[in-house]
Amino acid sequence: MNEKYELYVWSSYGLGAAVLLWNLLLPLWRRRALLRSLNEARDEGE
Amino acid sequence: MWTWFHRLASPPSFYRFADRLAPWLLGLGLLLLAVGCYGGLFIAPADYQQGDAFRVIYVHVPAAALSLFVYVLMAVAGAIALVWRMKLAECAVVAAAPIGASFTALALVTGMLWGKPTWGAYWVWDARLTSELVLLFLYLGVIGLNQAYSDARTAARACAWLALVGVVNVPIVHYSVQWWNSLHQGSTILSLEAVRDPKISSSMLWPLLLTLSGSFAFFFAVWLRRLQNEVVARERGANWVRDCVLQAPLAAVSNEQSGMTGPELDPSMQSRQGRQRHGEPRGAD
Amino acid sequence: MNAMLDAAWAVFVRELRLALRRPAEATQPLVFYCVLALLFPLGLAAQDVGLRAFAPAIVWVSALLAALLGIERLFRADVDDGTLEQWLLADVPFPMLVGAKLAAQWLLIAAPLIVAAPLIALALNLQPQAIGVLLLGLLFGTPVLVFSGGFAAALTVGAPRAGLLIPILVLPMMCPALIFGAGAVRAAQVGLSVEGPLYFLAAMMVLSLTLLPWAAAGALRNALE
Repeated sequence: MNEKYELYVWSSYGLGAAVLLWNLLLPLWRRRALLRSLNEARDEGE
Repeated sequence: MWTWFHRLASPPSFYRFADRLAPWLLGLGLLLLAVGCYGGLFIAPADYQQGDAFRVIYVHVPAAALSLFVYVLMAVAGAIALVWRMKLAECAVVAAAPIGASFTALALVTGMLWGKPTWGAYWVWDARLTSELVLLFLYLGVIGLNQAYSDARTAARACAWLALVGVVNVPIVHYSVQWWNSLHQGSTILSLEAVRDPKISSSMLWPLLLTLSGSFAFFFAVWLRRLQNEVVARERGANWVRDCVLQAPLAAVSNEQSGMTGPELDPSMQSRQGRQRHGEPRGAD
Repeated sequence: MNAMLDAAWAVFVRELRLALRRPAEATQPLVFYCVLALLFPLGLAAQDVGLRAFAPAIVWVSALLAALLGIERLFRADVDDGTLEQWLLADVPFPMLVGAKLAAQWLLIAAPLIVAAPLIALALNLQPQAIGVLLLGLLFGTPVLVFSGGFAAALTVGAPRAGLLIPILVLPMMCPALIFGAGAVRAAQVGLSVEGPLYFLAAMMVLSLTLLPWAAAGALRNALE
């Protein structure tokens, strides 16, 4: 690839990957937290 | 068809439907994205005018297309939520906003990274760029409004109103190119003349189509996951949440992300849920 | 039909009366507008020729900010004293009453701005031939500003912390009005045709007059439930 453009192209692909990762991980973390709080609520109830 | 739609709208059956569909969509999306990016970076020939700078297109165009599509989707879900008071549609509005906002921001930034080598400036006050920025503000408004209310339903319905009013902005984004004189190049593949007289050679086109379809599949996968979270958070006291969500131990949650189709339900449990579906849990109208 | 108009008229008059009871508060947008517009030249070099080029933008942005001033309090008093719940119970369509209230707000906030605009335009060195276009543009554009501000106020009325959110909510709706309003004046400055942008402004005015009262009413109903 032409050196002149390398930085622009690679950084845009990198940012794209970062956005994908962010979108992938956030719901997972939220789900972890939800399940934890639900489990705690259930344990307290029993 | 209609009964299928009705059944899907009930939280427990939606939850299981999403569990089954999301991993496949995610796998498909990531595969298409990977192949498309490889093709875009290494196989497609350099453009004779823009050189290698055009390779940004394989990130920029899917992000921009998603940013518009997600907004329209959000407004449609908002209309359904307001007219039929469907809880799942309310969740859909709230779940779509952060994803849409992230892709709008990506479209803006990659547009700047593409603009610098080709136009010589990161930012010009061109119609499309400006409208995309406005779209980002619309998304941020929905996110902020959702967080400002303590009651989740009121928040989601306020967001639905905002999305509906804001959708007037989306045609402005799309047709602004024609309204104002613009530096931005016209859309390359989606016009009729392009079919007759292709402006983009097929070796450049196929990676674009792959990343486009891949990012749409990816969007639907993460959207379903967010929707599941919203639904569970709202129904936290309901019976089906205890049976269906908590029965799966924490370990299974991380397993199914790696491509498994989620925990299978044993028959006895399914019949129990069948009964509970009609005795709607707490919080139903 | 008559009862509907009577009720809307009653709301309209009530709004004006309430405002006239506190004249100092009612003149705040006008004062804010003049101060803002007259501060801009102080930021430039004295006798800067660029002032004339910036004038349309200055007048319009000042009008936009003045219309936003205090807009988050628009419905709060009516929610607190139960007026809005009475409106909801009335057998007159709720959006109509909300529209009447917003129309009264337009008269209170925007009409003084339009009257003061020629003076400010002269102070900013705007060419006299562009002043007529400026006024016409403001006449068409200020309803868009006030009604979209009202919609944003309705959206956030149930969330006391959301006052800071209003600028983000209204920006997308106000952007086209600003672009075409200032664009018309710029076209008039250089002697180009001003009909296109003015038609656009008029269309946006009709759109916001007809649709935004319904949306605001829906948002208010949602917040009150």
